[in-house]
Amino acid sequence: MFDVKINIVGDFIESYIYSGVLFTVDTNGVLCSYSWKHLIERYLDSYPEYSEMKDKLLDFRKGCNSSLHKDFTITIDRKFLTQHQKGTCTALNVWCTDLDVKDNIMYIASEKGVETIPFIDEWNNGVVQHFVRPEKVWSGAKIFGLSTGSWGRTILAAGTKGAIEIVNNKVDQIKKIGFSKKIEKEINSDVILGCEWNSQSTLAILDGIDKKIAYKFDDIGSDSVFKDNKNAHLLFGKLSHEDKEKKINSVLNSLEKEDFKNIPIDKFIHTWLESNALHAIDCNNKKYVFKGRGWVESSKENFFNDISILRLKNVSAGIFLETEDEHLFRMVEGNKHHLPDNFTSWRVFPRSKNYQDRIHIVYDDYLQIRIFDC
Amino acid sequence: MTQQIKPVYRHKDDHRIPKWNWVNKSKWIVSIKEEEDIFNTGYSENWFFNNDIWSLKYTNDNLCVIGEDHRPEILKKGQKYAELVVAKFIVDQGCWHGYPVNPLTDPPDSSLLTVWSQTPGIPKRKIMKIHTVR
Repeated sequence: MFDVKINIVGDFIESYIYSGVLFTVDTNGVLCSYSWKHLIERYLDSYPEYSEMKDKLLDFRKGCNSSLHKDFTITIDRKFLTQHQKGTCTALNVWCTDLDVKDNIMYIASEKGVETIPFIDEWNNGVVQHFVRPEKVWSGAKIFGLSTGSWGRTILAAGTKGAIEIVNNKVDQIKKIGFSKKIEKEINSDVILGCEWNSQSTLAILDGIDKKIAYKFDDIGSDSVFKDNKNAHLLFGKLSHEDKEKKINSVLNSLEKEDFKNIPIDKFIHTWLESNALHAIDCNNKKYVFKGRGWVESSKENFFNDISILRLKNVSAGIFLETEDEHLFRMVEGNKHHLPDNFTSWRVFPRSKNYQDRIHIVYDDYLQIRIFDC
Repeated sequence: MTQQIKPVYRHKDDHRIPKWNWVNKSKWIVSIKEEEDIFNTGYSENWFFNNDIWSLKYTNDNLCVIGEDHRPEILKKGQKYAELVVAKFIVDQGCWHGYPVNPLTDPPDSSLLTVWSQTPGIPKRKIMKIHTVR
């Protein structure tokens, strides 16, 4: 079980990777983009002995065919990062609390609320070389976390203002169906500090101050054929006029009347999303999965013993969990690996197809991108 | 902008036992002398946001707990109070007073998070915890 550590020197607070673009935010509130492929290729120019790892470093799906024979650590210093930045930087003038990217739009949560930076025109095969000015989409309170869904829907964890669902009318799918109404719906009025939607936007978990809250949302259907890309245009063109009308009317209706129901999770000590489904564990370490109408017992997991979980995320590289006492673990194949403490933030990409094998961990002086064998 | 004149500081009773109102006020758990030291640190370091001063007490690469928040609506189950590490000071007719704040309801501005995280002796991860209230 080997891994690669890519240490990128800098005073960061956050990072994100999306479609070949690495994004970082530093303590000055400066957002930067880097072509991940370009950075890796330039590094390998100087260290050809690592070339066989290239696919693994770039992309989970490409890298799955090769496995590591030993641990590697790669250090990218400030000079190298600046010299080989195929990308750009912009001052957000704020510390973000969360980032999300969907449909080539970056969503930034902060004390300002939520701002978006679309890079639809700026995205060019894994390179973002220009950021437009951030656009305010919601500014009613400090936002502690957000999660984007289909049809421009986004859940906001608004602290003492609860959890709110908004619709970003600027996404192509929404513009295409002619939906212009301002949607701002209260999902929950408790103190909410985080939120997560599954990739179909049918299940959501909210992080309350001392408990999780789960919801099942109406399935509005996929928005993929309404997106502004070649494949979507092709599929949309194949639909009959009647089918288009029917689909559009159904979505317009659903967006206005969208309903959600609370899923009871009081008996569990932790709940999380895994492979698009809602999972939970009880005080006897029994694992359950939510199947439409109720909870079904699935297995027993012993590695949760004596752990008070603050945050848990599941990707192909394993279960990553942060405990109340500020430790970070990777659980894989029944083993628990303690990752170095004193981290500032960490992020995995459960809804991404390309980055299932890695975790981004921000430490005091560097960002570590740690890539595991799949 | 550097402040030249030594500021006047006066502590207020309503954030201290016995006059402390736990329902809507935070409570100092440090001495009055330490409270004033925390103010002086913020003042001398120029940790201003708008007209207020925000400050911290830090030692050995850690932030010190300086206050408590007992409001039940922001507490976890079984928790008696939230520990506070940030203080806010306001000026009224030339006289300063302050109180510990809960970053959930009184979040420090990002400009303060930047200078705090870049101050030697203050760990960035602790500033991030203030920021995300985790």
